[in-house]
Amino acid sequence: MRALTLKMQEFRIPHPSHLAIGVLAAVASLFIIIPVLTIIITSFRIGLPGETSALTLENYREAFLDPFTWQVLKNTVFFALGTIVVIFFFAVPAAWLIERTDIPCRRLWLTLMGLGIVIPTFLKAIAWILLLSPKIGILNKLFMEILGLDTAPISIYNLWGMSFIQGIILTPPAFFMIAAAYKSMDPSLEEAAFVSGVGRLKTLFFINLRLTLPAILAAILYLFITTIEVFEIPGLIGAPARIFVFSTLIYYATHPEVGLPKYGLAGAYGMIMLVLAFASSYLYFRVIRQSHKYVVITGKGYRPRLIELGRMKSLAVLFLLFYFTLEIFLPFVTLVWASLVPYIQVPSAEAFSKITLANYLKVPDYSGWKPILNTVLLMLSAPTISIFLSLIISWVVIRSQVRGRYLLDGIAFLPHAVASILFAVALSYIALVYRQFFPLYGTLAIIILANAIKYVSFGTRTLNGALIQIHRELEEAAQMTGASNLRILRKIVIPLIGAALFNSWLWIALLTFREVTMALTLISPKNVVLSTLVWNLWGAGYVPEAAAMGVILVFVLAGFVVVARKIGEKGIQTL
Amino acid sequence: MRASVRFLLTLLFLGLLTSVFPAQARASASDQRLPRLIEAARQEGVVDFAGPASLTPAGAQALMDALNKKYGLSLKVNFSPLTSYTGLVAKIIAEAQAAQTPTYDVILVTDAHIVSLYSRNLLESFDWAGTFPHIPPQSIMLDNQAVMTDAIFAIPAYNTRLVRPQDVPKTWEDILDPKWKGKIVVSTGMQIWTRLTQRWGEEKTEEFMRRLADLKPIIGRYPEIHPRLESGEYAIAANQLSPFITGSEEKKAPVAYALEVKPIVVLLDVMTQVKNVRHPNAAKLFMAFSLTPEGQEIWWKYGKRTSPFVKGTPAWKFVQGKELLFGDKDFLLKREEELIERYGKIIGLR
Repeated sequence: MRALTLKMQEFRIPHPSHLAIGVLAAVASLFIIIPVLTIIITSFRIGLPGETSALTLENYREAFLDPFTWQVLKNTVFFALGTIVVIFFFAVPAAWLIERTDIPCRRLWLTLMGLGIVIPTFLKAIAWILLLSPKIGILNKLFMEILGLDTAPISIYNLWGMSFIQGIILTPPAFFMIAAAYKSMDPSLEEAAFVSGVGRLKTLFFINLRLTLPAILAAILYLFITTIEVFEIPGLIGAPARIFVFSTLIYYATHPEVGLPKYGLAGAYGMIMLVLAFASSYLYFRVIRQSHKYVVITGKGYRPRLIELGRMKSLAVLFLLFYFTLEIFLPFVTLVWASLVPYIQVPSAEAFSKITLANYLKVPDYSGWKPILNTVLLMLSAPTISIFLSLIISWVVIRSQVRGRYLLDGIAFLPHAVASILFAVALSYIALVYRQFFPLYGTLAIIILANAIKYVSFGTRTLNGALIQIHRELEEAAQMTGASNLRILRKIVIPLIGAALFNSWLWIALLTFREVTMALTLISPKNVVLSTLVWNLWGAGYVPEAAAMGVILVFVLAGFVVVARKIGEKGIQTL
Repeated sequence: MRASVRFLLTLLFLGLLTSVFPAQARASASDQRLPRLIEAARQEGVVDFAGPASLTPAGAQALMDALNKKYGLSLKVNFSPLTSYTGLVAKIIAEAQAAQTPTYDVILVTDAHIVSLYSRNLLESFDWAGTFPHIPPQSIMLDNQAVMTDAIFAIPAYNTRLVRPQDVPKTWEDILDPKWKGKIVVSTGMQIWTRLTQRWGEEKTEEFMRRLADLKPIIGRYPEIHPRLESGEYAIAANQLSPFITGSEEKKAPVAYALEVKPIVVLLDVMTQVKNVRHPNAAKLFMAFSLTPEGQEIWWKYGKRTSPFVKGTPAWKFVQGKELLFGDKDFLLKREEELIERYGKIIGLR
């Protein structure tokens, strides 16, 4: 075994499993490449996809010859970087504390991490407006009273405010992307550091952070692009104050008040995202090429052990409490408040006298069983397909020596680099044109497919980070005993990255539950899901009713997260 | 030869009949057409309907239940609630180009959105007046290709706790008063201003928009600005749509219309049927039923909107004695899209 390790022979995928995996990776790539190509072609045309028009640069002229666009680019980069700073201020320590230390109530923190996503972002935005608006913000009023100020000390209607709120909201996906890497980390290096008298914080910075660099970098790049794409916070907090980012421009181009959506113009704006994604993918390749540096699970012994926090325990708990107050407690209290009042208002004695359960009683009017059933099917199937494809792709990228494997990784990142609405429009158009071969148009299956493809980028980022940490010697040893590649994957790789697989599955399930843009674009009478119902309630001005539905969904999904986690942990133990 | 003479004589006789007794002939045709339509609808069994989210699935079901009761049917409705009509219009055009049977049998969009479908000749024409005498003639639009089911009104609105009665705007120009600087919200919906252009002209409207932009308003979509007005974050909205105001009134939220402002801009909601749908007869019945008093009652209960042309409805009562401004079809076709973009840029939108 030792000799094998020293030789560092590259693992070669033989036939026939090589072929099977190659075919699967190629099929997955096609599902990604075709919609992306459709978007690129659309950006060179005027009109709707499918409408005959000559190729033109008109959309690019309109998008990039306008000085306004460059101001928007500056805003976007500032917003994305600011958000990343906030995310990592919370996500990295949280992942280390929850996965590597003996912090109490570990399960509770893990469950809470998964719960924040359930609260619709537009309701979180309303919560922050009620808390920090310069005019009616409860916290601002409190500060003004305590400090004797004439004007509000904090405003969220600026890039700082937007970045702060977006960062808080996007911390959980970063957590899940890097938590698995911390979980599977061999503690021998930490122990060596402690024996040498190095403190816990220094160990975190110089040992843990460096060993989990691929996972952290993957999360940074993934969330950088996510921040460029997300619409709700820029739309609800930035746009009202005329702070535009690319997602707002894409939104306005695809949702004009009258006339037809300008998908071509939106596609041209979207190319910026694609360029940034390619640049970030290149950075990522450079790191994962050096993957042997980050191996922590080897054949000689793997025994993750928790670090004792000692006197730091209460400080660590306070840190997590502070984060969850911002991410869940304050928005959830606001959500409950909004669901109990007839209209959005600041808490007051008069407002308390108006508290009612009427909004909850109306919820059945807005739903029915079909959207619930559709949502359950969507949440179970989309993450399963997505994780299956991600595992195949990640294995080829990290484990094989196939030429162009890094290109495959770039392809896996593509769906994330195009705006969801454009991705859904392209997919819908392809399904429409080829409906005789693939009868998906207007079905729930197309929403499942859209989500499965869209989140392959999330799945591959997380699984790449986990696979990198496993030394090849384990697989090489199995290969020496004559095990096939599929058997190696099933018996060695999957059990070792079980936590990452499960976390990714769960997180994709929750992302799928909340995803609304693609579901709205692909909607038909047969495939209405809950996320579109909540969005439509909000869009129709029924904010308290949307909040009531949101509260109910939080409890249902909390149950889902707890049950899924129990089943998942049991499953991992039996692997 | 004798047979053809007999045929010609029969035609002549029928022609005479219909020219001497046109009303009776029409009534007779109508009498037969409706039962045939009902029977055909019974065979189809279902209607796929895309409409405003504010109607809610329960509202759509209530409409269908009432229709079934009226005509002795047991039709089902599959309702897709929508908040963006442009995406729906784009979908319909894409389906027509791909020769795909339309997803929806009936759609409800605004008069501004329907022009994209009308100008592409995608809509089904039907003798609405001849088949459904209850439909007011003013509701039949675009060469029998659509029926107007309800109207939405737009004028400035204000928070009653923050605006004193003497400060409530009495004209459109009153919202430009510098006292509203930092206190006003403006919807991203520029349609109101393009409609006012019909009355004011482009030069005056552009100047109006510049002065409005000088007030540094907060901007947002209608559902976004409304909670801000209700919560008191902002005192006044340059305009707000009537379903939101009606909703506020029902909830006793401190929001009201500046009712002295005129003209009141009217946006029309129209129902239409795209060509080659799966359930054309059930769809027509559903469209026509929306304009019956029972149908209007349901539209009011759930969607907070009714037709000003159906006597006795809340919209009919509201418009009595008011100065209204409707969109002109030719104007909408030729100018509205461009003006919306121009005014949007002035106010700070892209």
